[in-house]
Amino acid sequence: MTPFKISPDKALQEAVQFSEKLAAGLQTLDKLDEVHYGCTEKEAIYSEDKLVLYRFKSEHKVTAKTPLLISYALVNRPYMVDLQADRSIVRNLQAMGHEVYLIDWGYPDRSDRFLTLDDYINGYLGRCVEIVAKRHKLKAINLLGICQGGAFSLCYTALHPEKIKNLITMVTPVDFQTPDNMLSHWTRKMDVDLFIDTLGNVPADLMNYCYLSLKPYRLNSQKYVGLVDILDNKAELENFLRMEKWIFDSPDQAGEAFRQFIKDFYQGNKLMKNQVELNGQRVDLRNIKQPVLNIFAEQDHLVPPSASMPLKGLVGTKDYTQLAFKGGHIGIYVSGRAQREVPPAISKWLKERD
Amino acid sequence: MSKGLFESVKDSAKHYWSQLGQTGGGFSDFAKQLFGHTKSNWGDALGTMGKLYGNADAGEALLDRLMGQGKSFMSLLEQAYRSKLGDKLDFSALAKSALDQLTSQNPFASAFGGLQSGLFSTPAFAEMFNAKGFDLSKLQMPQFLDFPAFGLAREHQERQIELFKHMKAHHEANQRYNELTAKSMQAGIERMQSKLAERTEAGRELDSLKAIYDLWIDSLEESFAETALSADYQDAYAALVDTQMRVRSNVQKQVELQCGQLGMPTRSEVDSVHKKLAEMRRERRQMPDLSAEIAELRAEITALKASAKPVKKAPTSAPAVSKQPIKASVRPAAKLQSRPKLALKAPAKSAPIKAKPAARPISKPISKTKAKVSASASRAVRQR
Repeated sequence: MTPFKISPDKALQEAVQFSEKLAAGLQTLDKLDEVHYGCTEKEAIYSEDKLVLYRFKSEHKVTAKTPLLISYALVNRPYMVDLQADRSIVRNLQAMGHEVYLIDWGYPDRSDRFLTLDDYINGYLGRCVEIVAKRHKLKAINLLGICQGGAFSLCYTALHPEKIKNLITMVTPVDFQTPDNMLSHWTRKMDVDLFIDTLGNVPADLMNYCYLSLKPYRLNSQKYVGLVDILDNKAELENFLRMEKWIFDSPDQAGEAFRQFIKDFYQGNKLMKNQVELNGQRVDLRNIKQPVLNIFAEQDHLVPPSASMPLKGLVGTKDYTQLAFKGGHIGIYVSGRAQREVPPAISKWLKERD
Repeated sequence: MSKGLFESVKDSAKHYWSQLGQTGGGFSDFAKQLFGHTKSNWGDALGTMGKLYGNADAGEALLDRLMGQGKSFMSLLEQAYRSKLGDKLDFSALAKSALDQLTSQNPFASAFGGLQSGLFSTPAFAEMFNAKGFDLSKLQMPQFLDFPAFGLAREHQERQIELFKHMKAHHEANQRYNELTAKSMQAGIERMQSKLAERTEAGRELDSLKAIYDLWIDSLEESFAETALSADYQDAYAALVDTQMRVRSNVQKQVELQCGQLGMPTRSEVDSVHKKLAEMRRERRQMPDLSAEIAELRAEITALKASAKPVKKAPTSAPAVSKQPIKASVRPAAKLQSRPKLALKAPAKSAPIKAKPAARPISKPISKTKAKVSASASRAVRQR
């Protein structure tokens, strides 16, 4: 018996089809417009160093009493939450009556090499929380932390619980040493001090290389072979390019913050042990007594579910909700399913606690 | 780009594949006809197409990438097609050929082939390792390099020896890493063969060339994940990164020394400024928010300035004031009244007299203001 059920005619047809798609693709590529990203109009309400705090302007009536501040990761650009009109968590939340703010950490350069996690969390994030709260004359606001921004949000909320009304974490690692966490596995024995002392800031290309090498054949080859299927579709191709832009439009990482993040979070797994210290203050997740919604993606290869799920047993709140999304680390923001499932779930959960 | 050319490419592709099916060859003529020179296979032709349109295209990079990956897939298709997909299909040979295409067309390839350039995207370092005639694997560490250095250049010599040792260590770490990834690829091919064996059951056969490719990628990924999560890989990865950092660090030190001797600013100097800058930013932000207090003080100062205007004029008219009031006071009021010219001047002259007592209460807020300002200043100094 043979494992193949492909007649020569069918194989010929497939090969010719592939060639035709490629040829047509050349024509589509030639006609492509400039690809834009970030669809919702926004205004900068605060800036400091490279950071800009944005408020998204809404066409919808704001019905929620408490605004939502989104804290994204440092390792990618935050426009992923508002990539395009039909793939925007922000836009969907606005349609459900929420006022949304977003922190853009910017692109650190060598003058930011000595920024620490304390600078980012108690400093930048803290001031953004205060500014949003002051604008709305509130003592506490809602905070949505994504990925590394989720870890930051956990630290901030644990240190300043009075300033956060409801906390949402999305694809956020808490246990950094689960057996399936490849990134963690690779960094565990690296000499991070030598690494940062030598490189200063961590170059974006290096970060991207690491992400690609987690699934080298799928991300470097199969993805582009699969692209041929949509090469003759201008809209699909633009969507693809928009994602491609986001994936590789990465900021360098401020050296000191990176050093501390790898040492304390990845190598020391200190968030799990309540041993992270920021400016001499210990981050104790048991101080998080406000409602927590923890959303993770079932097929996430960067932050596996096993890395997010332990949060339940670590926070001090009695109001803990967990949401497992059927998709991956990126699909959770931009897939069609994500648009249908994630913003409504967040909105419903927040409104029940507004 | 003309439509006619696309049609021509498509027609040529059809022609190529059908010729391949009939004779197992014929691409050379097609390539010669289309691109003006002989190409050995369709995958290479794709590369030429990419170059042909790349420069005029908004998606140039994408095109390059697409062509690169198209080549790997096409190579697999071509091998499979040539074999007629029969029972005699030797997947090992097929996969090896396609794998060569795959690894020569993606960024990971450079990691497999020599991680110096792939991992850290630094051509300068890659060049350093790949320079013609520079083959670390053939270099033997001369025994005398372990001897201590002497004389004027001893420090320089020691740094050079240290660099050599780090490069050697990095080369070995790179070899170890490459061995592991090569093993992983071999395991991927074996995994694919066992997956193919599973697909011989009726109803589970692969029914398209794309399905073969996808299964092959799955096999490679699974195999790589197994390797990448192993303790060996963890050690090899750490060694690879650490040894390269030592090489870079050593080179940076030497460059700094050279720059210093030429009177040029160095990275260390700039870093120390940046560090100080970060500390100052932090200190400034930790200072209490004085904006309300400053606003209050400003308002007070403005008010003071407004009310103290006459006082300011006092010094210029002071000599006259000090004398005139005395004179005025000794003059009988009637006399003053009888001298209208003087009477006209009298209010101006008498104003300072009135202002004098008024100056006393005014001086209190001023001293309060000064006290507040100096308190704020001393607070700021203390916080520093």
